[in-house]
Formats: sequence, structure tokens, C-alpha cells
Amino acid sequence: MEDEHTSDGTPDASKPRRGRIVRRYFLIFVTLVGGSLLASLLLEMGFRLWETRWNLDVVHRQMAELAALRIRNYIENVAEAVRLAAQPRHVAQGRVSNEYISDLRDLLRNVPAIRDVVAIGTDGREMLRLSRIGTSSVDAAADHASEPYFATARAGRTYFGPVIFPADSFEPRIMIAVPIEPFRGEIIGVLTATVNVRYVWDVVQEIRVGDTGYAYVVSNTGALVAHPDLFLVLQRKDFSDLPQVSALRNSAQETAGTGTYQNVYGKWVLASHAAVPDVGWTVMVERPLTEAYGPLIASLARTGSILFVACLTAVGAAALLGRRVLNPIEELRRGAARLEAGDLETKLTVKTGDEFEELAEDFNRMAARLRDSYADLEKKVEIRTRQLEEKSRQLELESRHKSQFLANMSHELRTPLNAILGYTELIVDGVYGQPSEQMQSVLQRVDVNGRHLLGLINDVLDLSKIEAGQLTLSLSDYSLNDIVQSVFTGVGSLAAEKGLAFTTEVPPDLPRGRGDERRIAQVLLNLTGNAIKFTDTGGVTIKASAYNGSFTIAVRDTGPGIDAVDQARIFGEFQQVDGSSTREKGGSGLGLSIAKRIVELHGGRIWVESRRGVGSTFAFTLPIAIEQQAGQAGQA
Amino acid sequence: MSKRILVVEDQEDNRRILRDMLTNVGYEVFEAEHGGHALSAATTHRPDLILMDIQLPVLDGYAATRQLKSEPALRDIPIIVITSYALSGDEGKARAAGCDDYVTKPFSPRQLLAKIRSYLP
Repeated sequence: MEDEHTSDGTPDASKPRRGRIVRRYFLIFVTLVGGSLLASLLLEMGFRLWETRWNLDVVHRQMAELAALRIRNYIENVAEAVRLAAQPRHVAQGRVSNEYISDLRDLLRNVPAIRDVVAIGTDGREMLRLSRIGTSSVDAAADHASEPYFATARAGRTYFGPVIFPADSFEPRIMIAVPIEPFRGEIIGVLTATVNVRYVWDVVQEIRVGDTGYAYVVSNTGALVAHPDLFLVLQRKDFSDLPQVSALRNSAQETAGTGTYQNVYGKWVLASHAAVPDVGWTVMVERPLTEAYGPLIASLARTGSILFVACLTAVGAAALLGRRVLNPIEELRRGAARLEAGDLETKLTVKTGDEFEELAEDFNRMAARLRDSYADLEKKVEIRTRQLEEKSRQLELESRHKSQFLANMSHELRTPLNAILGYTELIVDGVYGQPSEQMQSVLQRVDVNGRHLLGLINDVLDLSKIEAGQLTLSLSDYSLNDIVQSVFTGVGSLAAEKGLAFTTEVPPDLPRGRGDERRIAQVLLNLTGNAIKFTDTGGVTIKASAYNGSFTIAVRDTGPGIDAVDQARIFGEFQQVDGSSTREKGGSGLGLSIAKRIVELHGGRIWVESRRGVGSTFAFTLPIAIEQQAGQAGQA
Repeated sequence: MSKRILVVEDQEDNRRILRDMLTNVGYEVFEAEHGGHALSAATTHRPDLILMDIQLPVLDGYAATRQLKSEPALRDIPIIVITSYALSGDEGKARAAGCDDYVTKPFSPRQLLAKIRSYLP
């Protein structure tokens, strides 16, 4: 694994990693699905909004135009009736016949919206005035000649006056003025009619835009002419400050349009307008946005909730799929962990019927192979171990046999030698009669050679035992002074024979040591014997000291000295400085080797310092007290 | 009356050397060839000292020493054990078996004689 293996790959260390893949893919999945769903929702919303607005715009504008048309038709009908009444047959220049008066009476009767009519002569003077209320007094003083309606009608056109809110009534009025034209091209006066606009209210009331939409009419000055909410009209509201109305005035050329504004109640509405020609009014159609866009919002809410459910389903499906993917992976990981922990019997059960199942089967096959090769390996190891044990037993047996053989052989060799030496001594001592002088000297040689042979046999036996690892130290308390003394006594005569100075330097207060006394004495005897053997003039000194938990025993001589190359060699087996010295001086050449092993068994070390022609010092250290011998020295 | 010494030794040469050496200086010598004979010989001859080899057939020197030392009538007889040089730890075993003294092979007849004389004044 990646560092994760470091993971002891322990399950703990890997915990934060758990489910990372699944989380990652889950997020990707959710992002993709959710993102595309959201994008489509937004796109859909945008398109639908745009479409709806376009549709609403068209519909509302058409409604406004329709309303404008109806109002115009109404006004036009009134105007037409007035025009008809302005084409009398019974009118003469400056005169009003009774027939004409009855015509005008018919007009008032037929068109309820007309409040009164005034016939004006070409000179601007009133000729006739008829009122719905009944009184028909001509205002003789009134001069209409300078009024705009007079001028317009006199010129042959129909005049539509501005909306007037009279002081004596709540109902707004307009004036219509037409030329009195009995014959085409012959204008004999002007007929004005005051029209009660209240009738427009009915038209406006009838207009229904959706459920709560409505239409209203404003004049070109922004004055409210008609509104379903009569109260507003009665208040003579001025709508010129309403944004949708002021926007209209600013772009007067537009005859119809749609926009979103706040209405007079402060509610957001979709507002469309259409111009009513001739009178200069504008019909506004307003519909609350909530209603106008209601279907769209409802539809979007439906779509949104469907998308939300789809998203939830997608998330759920992703989680479910993630589980499905994660579970086999977890199972595989657990299996791998068990395998790692050494459970070779691990078997995975993944029944997904897909690549995971194949992977698990591969895993199981791998585990089986591992198990088999493990078993195979164990069998092999077992066989090899048995073979090794067998071999080792054989070797041990051989070694025991060898050691037994050596012990037997040394006994066998020494028994006759002991007998020879014993008889020799008895002869020398005159047990069998006094020998001659010559015989005495020969017997001396027999004794010396016999003892030499005995020494060789003992050395070979010692070394063999060491090599076989069978030399064991016999530990006891000892006095180094006593050992030095016994050696001094043992070889003192040899030194004296060669005329050598032989001394010891041993402090009397040395501590008692613990070790194999006889073997230590053997080492010292060997070193001292060698020193005396190889030294012809001068002397030999044994020096002992105790320092820092160890004895140091040194044997110094004034012999020939040993070359540096030989110094390293002489502690090996069968090594004397050269072959000739062995022959000259006697000895097996095993003494130093045995001494080295014995010192090392005690945990000490032995070395030599020497200079050619000056002398040699052989020295060794011994821990003052040892409780067990050091590792088997010299084990081959 | 001369002192009596029992030599328990299987090697004929060794027996002869000891016998020649000891009779030469006036001791009366009895011999046993192995440990099995040591007890009966000691009972029969009532020696003043016993020289006991360790490596003996039938019954080795340690066992024979233990037997002798367990006999109330014989336990006061000094026993000098002759141990083999080669086997370290023999001295301890010999002491444990109850011997009074020991010499190590190869022994010098003169040294052994000196040791015997210290037990038989």
C-alpha cells in the first residue's frame, strides 16, 4: 500500500480514508445529476417566463386595444348621433325652426349620455339650448366665437373636448362639437353636446381581465376618467404621477404596450395600455403579477418539485450504488487485512455477480495458493529441520564418540607410560637392587623422555577437549600468590640448572580470586616454562597485580625475542617460532594455544610484547572473580 | 607388626609397582582387582590403609569408597584415591564419596610413599 502500508496498514491508520472513493463518486454523481437537473430547471424557467411574458403582453395589449375600441365606439356612436342631429332639413340662416327643436329633443331622448345641446350660429351667438333637465333658455350674452370647439366645428371637423369635472356633479363630462351642415359644404352653425362620461364607466366595468384584472381610463392629462373602483373616480383622482401613466406620456407615440408597475394600491401589476383615438384617452389594463404569472409559478413549482424528487432519488440511488460498490471493497480490504495478519483460511463471499465477485474469487484463489505454498514451505521446513536435527544428533554423537575416544586413548596411552615411569623410578630408587652409575644416567634419560611424552599426550588431550567444547572450568576460590609460588617451586630447579635469575614480584595483599585454579596454574607454568626454556642468559620474572577487577600476570624474560610477524602466530596450534626450535627445545607447540583458550574461558585475554634480542613479555588478564565460564573458546 | 595396605587397582603393572614399592619399605600388601572385591578384601584383611583407583571395572572407585565408608567397622580405614589427570572434577567427586586424600595420576612413587607415611606413622 502507499505509505498507508506503514500502515500497518493498520485498520486504524487507514480509517480516515474509508469510503473516500464512494464519497468522491457520490459527490461527482450528485453534482452531475443535480447540476443538470438544476440547469434544465433554470433554463425551463427562463424560457417559460419569456414565453409567458410574451403571451401576456400580447393578450393584455389586445385586451387594452379591445377596450379602447369599445370606448371609442361608444364615443363615436354618441358623436355620430350628434352629427346626425346637426344635419337638419329645417334650418335656415340665423333661424331655428320648431322642427329642429324637436330633432334635438329626439337626440336627447335617444342618447341618454347627452346632457344638453347648444346650437350656435356662425356669428358665435347661441341660437338654441336644450337641456335634459328641461330648461332651454338661450344665453344670449354668451359668445362662443373665440372658443376652440367653435373654431374646430366651424372649420367642419368634430371636436372632442377635454374631460371636465363640474362642480355641481361627480360625473365627468366632455364636450362634443360638430358643424351644423344642412347641405354638404354649407355650414350654418355649430352644435355642441355635453356628454356625461359616466356611461364609459359601464364599459370599463364590463371589461374583465382574468380573475382580478381590471381596466381603467385616463385622460391625456392623467385625470382618471373611468375606473371599476368608482370611489377613485368620484375622488377625481389624478393618475398623472402613476409611473405607467407618466411613462405613457413620455413616449406618446406608442399606441399600445405592456410593462410591470405598481398600481394605485401599491400592488405589483402587469400593465398594458391602448390609446383611444379622437378623445386622447388611454385605456390601461392591469393584472396583478401573482395572477398573471400564477400558472407559470404553479407550473414551475410542479417542475421544481418533480426535479427535487428526482434529485432525491438520484442521491438515494447514488448512495445505494456507493454502498453496493463500497461493501465488496470493504470485504476485500478486510480479507486482505486478515491475510496480512496471517489468517490464510480467509475466504471472501462477495455475491454481486460482477467484477467484484470475480475479484473476490481471484483473491480467494490467491489466498488458496498462498495457503498451499505455505503448507508446502512448512512441510519443507519440517523435513529440513528433521534432517538438520538428525545431522546434529549424528554430529553430537560423533563428537561424543570422538571425545570418548580421546579420553580412552589418553588413558590407554598414559597407563603404559605411567608404568614405564613408575618402574624407572623404582629402579633408580634401588628397589630392585642398586643400579650402576652408567645405568643411573640412562635411567635419567628414560625418565626425562617419558615425562616429555606424557606432556605431549596431555597437551593433545587438552586441546582435543577444548576443540570438542568439552573443557569445563572447575571453579573454586584460589590465591594467586599460592599459584605463583607453586609454579616458582615447580620450575625453580630448571632455572637454577641454566643459571638464570628467577624472581617473582607479587604484592602480598592480592585479593582472592575465583576460577579454575589448576588451569590457571597450568597457563602460568606453561609461560614460565617456555621463558626458562628459551632464555639462555639473564633471567625470568613473574609479576602479578590486581587492577580494576582484573588480575594481570606477566612473565618477562631476556630471551631471543620474537619477530612481530611471529607474535600473532604463536598462539595458534602447533606453532613455535620455527620448526627447528621445536626440535631443539621440545614441546608440542600446543601450550600457548591451550593457554589462550583457558584464559579466554575465564573471560580474560593473553598477549605478547617482544623485541628481537631484548626479550619477551607474555601477559594475560583474568577477571578476579568469575561465576561462569565465558563462551566455549575455540569452538570450530 | 608391619602395617597392612589394601591396593584396589585393575592394572597389573600399577599393582606390581605399588606392591614392589610398598613391600620394599616393609608394608604388607593385599590386592583387589576391582571395586567389587574391595569390600570383601577389606573385611577379610582389615588393612590399615586403602589405595583406591577410580577407573575400575564392575564397581568404580567412587562407589567402592562409598560402600566402605558406610560400613561402621571399616569407615575408620583411611582411603587414598588415585584420580585420573584427564578428568577435571574428579577431586570433588572423590571428596564427596568420602575418601580421606587423593593423588593424581601420573603419580610419582616417591610422592605417594610420602603421603602414605603421613597416614601410617
